[in-house]
Amino acid sequence: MAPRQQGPQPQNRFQVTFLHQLTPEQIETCGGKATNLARLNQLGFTIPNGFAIPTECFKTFVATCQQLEAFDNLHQNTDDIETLIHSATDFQTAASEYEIPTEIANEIIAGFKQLVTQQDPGPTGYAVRSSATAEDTKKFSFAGQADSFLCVRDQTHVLDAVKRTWLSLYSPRALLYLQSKDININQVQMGVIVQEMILGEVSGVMFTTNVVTNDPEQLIIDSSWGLGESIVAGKVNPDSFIIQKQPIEIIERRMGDKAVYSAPHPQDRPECTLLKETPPEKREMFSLDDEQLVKLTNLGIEIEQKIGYPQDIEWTYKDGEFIVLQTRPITTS
Amino acid sequence: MKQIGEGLISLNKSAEGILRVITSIQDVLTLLKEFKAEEEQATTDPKIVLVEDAGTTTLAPVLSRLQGVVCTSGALGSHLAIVTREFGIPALMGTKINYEDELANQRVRIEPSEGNSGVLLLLDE
Repeated sequence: MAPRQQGPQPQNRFQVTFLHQLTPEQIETCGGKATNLARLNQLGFTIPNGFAIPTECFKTFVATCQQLEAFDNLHQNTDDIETLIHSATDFQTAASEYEIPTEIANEIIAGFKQLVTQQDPGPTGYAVRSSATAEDTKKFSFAGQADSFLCVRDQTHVLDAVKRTWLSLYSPRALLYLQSKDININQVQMGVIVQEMILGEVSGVMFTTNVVTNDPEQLIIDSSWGLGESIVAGKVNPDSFIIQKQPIEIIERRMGDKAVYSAPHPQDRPECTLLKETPPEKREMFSLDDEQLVKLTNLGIEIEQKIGYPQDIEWTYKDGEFIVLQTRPITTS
Repeated sequence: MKQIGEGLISLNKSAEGILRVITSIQDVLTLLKEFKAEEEQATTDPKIVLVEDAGTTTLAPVLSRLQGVVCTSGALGSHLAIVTREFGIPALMGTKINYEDELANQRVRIEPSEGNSGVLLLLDE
């Protein structure tokens, strides 16, 4: 887990910053997810240890790709979504052949080596996650638009995953989302986080208000077995709970079939997770018991109180503890 | 009118329209073209889409024009539920559909029921 103190500021524009050293002023340099996690850490919550790669690395990398100019020109001059998607896909393919400039790769490797000495990867590796500047803000969740890679196991794969996270900004899905929100792609910068991978037994999402009925006295929890990506990506029907906050009372519980769960892949590959079938007995039981629900609810209430407004929280449960993987403001229309 | 499905609703709102099944980004673009053609002719034909994958956030370009979304997987914490909420339209998540016939192009309604649940109704011709 991440230490709690803040430390020295980066010396050069490519230098990575460990999450516990990140300041709120670095949102433009490291993106929303990194900043929100750093804030949680400063408020005393447990987050996975890791470092943020500044958006400057992304900017410099994509600028080295010759095809960027052609894409930019087209992007400025066409409203035709199909043409744009083709062009972005072409750019993604071309850019993926480029090496990360040595100066940048060295900074990432230095951060990674430091993380490895602090955090034994074990068999589960690290998580490489997007942290765009437009991401996880009050207006734009950017939810699920950029890619993240879990259980990434060594330096080579980490570098590759970082590059692919950067380039996921040019995926059709990210492009379509940005366009629908009237955001120019050039306004978005991709930061990336590399973190220790927490192999949760149960994971899920918690909204600290009932987003359906707009009731701030209730919160909502989705939970399922294994890693949380199966829930956010909608690969599984999780258990769902509505909980009254004061006094804590479980108002509604709905059992999901939890047919599959996300787990580390046994082989060393860039995409190192896979979906496995949930054993029947685990499908038919709730993934969180009452005691765990109360503990998680208390965590949600505390985070909401300390941050000051309702939060959409991704969490995981391991060895009797809840760990926050991400928090962002609840977005509305 | 009969109830043909049940799920979790992402917003406490009802929606009604012709159901369109979306399985690819190409389907999204086709639907977008239809919407644009309707706009040019100043006609409207409210639509609801059915998707299987709650990671299908490629729906973004049509979300502002849709009445609602029905998804057979996922729950309220899925990306699709979060993104549809940003557009102010209800998504019926993890929907169990109990209906034998082809649903495409039928007129349906999403309606909130108890708690955070919602139902999918098939409307009469």
